[in-house]
Amino acid sequence: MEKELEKIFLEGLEQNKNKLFRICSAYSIDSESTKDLFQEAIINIWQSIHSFKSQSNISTWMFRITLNVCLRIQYSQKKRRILFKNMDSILIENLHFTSEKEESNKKLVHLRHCISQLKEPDKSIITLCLEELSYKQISEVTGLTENHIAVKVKRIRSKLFICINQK
Amino acid sequence: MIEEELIRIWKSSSKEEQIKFEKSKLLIDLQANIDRFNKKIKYRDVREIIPAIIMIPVFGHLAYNIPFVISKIGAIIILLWCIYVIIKIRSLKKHKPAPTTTSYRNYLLETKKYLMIQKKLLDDVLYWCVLPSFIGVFVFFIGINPDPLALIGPFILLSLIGIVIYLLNKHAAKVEFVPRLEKIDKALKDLEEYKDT
Repeated sequence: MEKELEKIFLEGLEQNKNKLFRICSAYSIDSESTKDLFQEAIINIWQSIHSFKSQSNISTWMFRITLNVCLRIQYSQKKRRILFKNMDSILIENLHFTSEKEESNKKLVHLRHCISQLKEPDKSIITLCLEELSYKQISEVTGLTENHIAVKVKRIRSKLFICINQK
Repeated sequence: MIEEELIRIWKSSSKEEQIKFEKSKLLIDLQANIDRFNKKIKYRDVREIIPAIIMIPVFGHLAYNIPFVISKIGAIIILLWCIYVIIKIRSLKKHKPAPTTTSYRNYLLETKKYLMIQKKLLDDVLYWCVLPSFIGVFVFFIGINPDPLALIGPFILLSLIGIVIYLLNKHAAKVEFVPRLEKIDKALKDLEEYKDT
């Protein structure tokens, strides 16, 4: 049983690591805090792995925990908000930019800036949307109905487009 | 800018960072972190009730041995209060922070509920901490020296300590919990936005 859970965890992590990292980046001010947040999310996922039901989708489940961890850190009042630290088994390397990537990086910085201007729940919904989750999956993560999600996504998208085109 | 373009830009960040796991070490690292965290929590829980645990035998001894009846009553009040504090803190531990495995909306609702319980504990400190301990200690002093003049000093000192404890707790509730509860209320309100459109 333990081995099976380890396998599910490692496979799920490998499959979703980039997505989880991107979600964390929407809640961070710099790359260091993204790494801390990502690490915190992974520990919380591992801590909760026993409550994972194999019939549910591991990706949706991992997104849910990551978002809630981001939310918890965001709402914490303490200055030292990260509980877990120093895990050298997680390596995050910053890759060097080539000149053609610089332009796309500028766009990414601008997009992240626009997302950071959104209201808290809108930020969560749009990051899930950008990860190409279906409305059904977003509804499972957020606890809202699919119809409600559809209306919200439409409005958030308009706000995001306005922000991006203001550049 | 079309939506596909936004998705492409969003996902381009993965070209910036490369995430690798040393799988053989990862699970050991994770478990070590969790164990360390649980140990800290356990230590914190014990630390919170240690003063009450120490006071129980001290005031039990006084209640049994002190010759003054009124002081005996004071010592018994303090003894009962210490037991009550231990029970209260232990019962509060049953309320855990919201589990991160729940949905975003539920997480907000559960966190709100949890924070409100914690805030109430600080708000009510006058009734479960300051007043009972004040009465117990003051009655204890009356038994030792019933002269009203001799009681003025302890009365002022105990009142000042009580006021400081009360104000510190009120301040902690205001600084620690009120802003978080406001943020959660706002997030819940924003989440419900457009629900009926």
